[in-house]
Amino acid sequence: MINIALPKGRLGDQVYKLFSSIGYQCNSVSSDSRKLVFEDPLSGVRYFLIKPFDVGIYVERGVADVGVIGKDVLMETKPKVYELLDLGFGCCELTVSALNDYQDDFESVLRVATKYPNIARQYYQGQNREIEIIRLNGSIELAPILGLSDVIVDIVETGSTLRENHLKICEHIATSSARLIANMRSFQFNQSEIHAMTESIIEMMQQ
Amino acid sequence: MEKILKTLRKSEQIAYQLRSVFEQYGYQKFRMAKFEAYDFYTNYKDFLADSPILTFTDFSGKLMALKPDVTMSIVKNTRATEKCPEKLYYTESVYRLSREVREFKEIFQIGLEYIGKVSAYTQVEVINLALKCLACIDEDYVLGVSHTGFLSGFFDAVPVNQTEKRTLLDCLESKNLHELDRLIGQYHLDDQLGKQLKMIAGIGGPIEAELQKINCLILNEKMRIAYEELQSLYNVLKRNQLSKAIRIDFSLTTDEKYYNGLVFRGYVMSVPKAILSGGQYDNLLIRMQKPDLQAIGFAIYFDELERVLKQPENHCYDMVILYDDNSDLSVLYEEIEDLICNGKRVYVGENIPQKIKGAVYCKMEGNRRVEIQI
Repeated sequence: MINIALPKGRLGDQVYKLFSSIGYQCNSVSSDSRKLVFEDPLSGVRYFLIKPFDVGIYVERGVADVGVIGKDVLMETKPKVYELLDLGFGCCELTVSALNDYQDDFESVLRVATKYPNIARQYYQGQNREIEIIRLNGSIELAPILGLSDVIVDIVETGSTLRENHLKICEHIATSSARLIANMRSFQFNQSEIHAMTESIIEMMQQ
Repeated sequence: MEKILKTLRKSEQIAYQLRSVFEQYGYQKFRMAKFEAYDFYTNYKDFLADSPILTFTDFSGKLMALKPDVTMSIVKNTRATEKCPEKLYYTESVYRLSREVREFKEIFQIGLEYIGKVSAYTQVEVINLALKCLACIDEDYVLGVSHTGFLSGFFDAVPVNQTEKRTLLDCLESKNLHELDRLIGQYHLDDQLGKQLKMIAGIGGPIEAELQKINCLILNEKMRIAYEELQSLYNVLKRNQLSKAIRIDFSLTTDEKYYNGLVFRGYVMSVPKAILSGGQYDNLLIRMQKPDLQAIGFAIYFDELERVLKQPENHCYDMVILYDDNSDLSVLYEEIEDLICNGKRVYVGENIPQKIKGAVYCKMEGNRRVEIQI
């Protein structure tokens, strides 16, 4: 039985479709249900629906053998796992954004609102820039509008939320997409199955 | 003795088993103080992976540290010489910052150190002992083995700077072939080197099959020496069934400041993280002004083990005996001694606390022990 951690939401739906197409189907999986664990003994698979930010923890601690996680979350949480494959979907950009008329004042401490404090800290350390992190859990775009922060560090998919809130992208930090990760112990003991899984996914992606 | 061992928690039983294995192979117990002067670590902070140290001031005003590491203290105190090596093992706690909760954690370790001249046979002995330790813990185990010389030899042939090398090593560590592919392009590595680097990243199978692949990847003398060490290790160990658990795994990139030869990491099926870690660390001895000596060793981390090896039946007593004012205490005493001599775990009391569970419950009625239902 292989245990797979799926991120809840749209990305999870996409990932499940991919896995079911390579033989890991589980008919009971439904993101509308309140159930969090879905099992199919015939396919030998058990899925867990997990908040995207927690997927790395479940995989690192071996509750799930493999999982799918955004590169943005992987960079932020740095779980000790193997990063086996770039699945090529769920793409977005990690950027620094600010109000359209924002002018950076290099003499003052930059106030950065984000749910990615580690990425933001590392990015500005690389620029020797002193910052103050304002850790938020959602609706990050609101922070500069209400004067809570100067800039935000967040993911941008289409940019429409930014545009609607009169924000612009100032700097690009990294590109993110969904990654297949594996627990180190599980990888050691199930190498052939995990290799077969990655090979099948690569084949599917090439079609 | 066996009866007594069975009454202990599983992790304690394993600790005794490991000690017994080490003693059989001629390793002696090294006992040390819990504290070390803080100054000692300031000189070697780069070996502590930036982990802060838990300190306190002793009665004379001297700043002391709770040990974050055992090996450094052993190396500091060693009397080993090239001709007279020291074979030591320890059972100690270290105090380190937990990455997850950002709090100091006490981690119980059992480890082994060989200090002197590391011969090919020493390497065989230590790897064999690492395998035996894993086998004591779980019947399903894997020992990943790498060689710093092989990787460092390869990177000698790759025209990249230190930062780029570190980024490529990070990819090897996380088996991240897609990022490796991208970096090979970004750093303009030639096709052949790029292909070889991806082959190195893909190596991770049983030692016999992977040695053949490694042989085809040799580019220089450093890599050849590393290959020959791995090959001679396998030539001796292949006689033993335990060797089937050895995997060559270059995701074990480790710290070149510390390790300089064989490095290895052990996994057991029941624990989600590596529980054994070790290697040859002559570089530490050079830094600690003992350049004539070499050393190899490993440690087993019990923090995860203790949680996983919890045995519910261990909390259940073989017998719970109740007594009251009418019980004959002399007979009760004799009955209990008899049970204990037979290796049973017995709980005796006037009442049964809620958390106490027994396989059998009895009551002393006068001078008779009567079984009761609870």
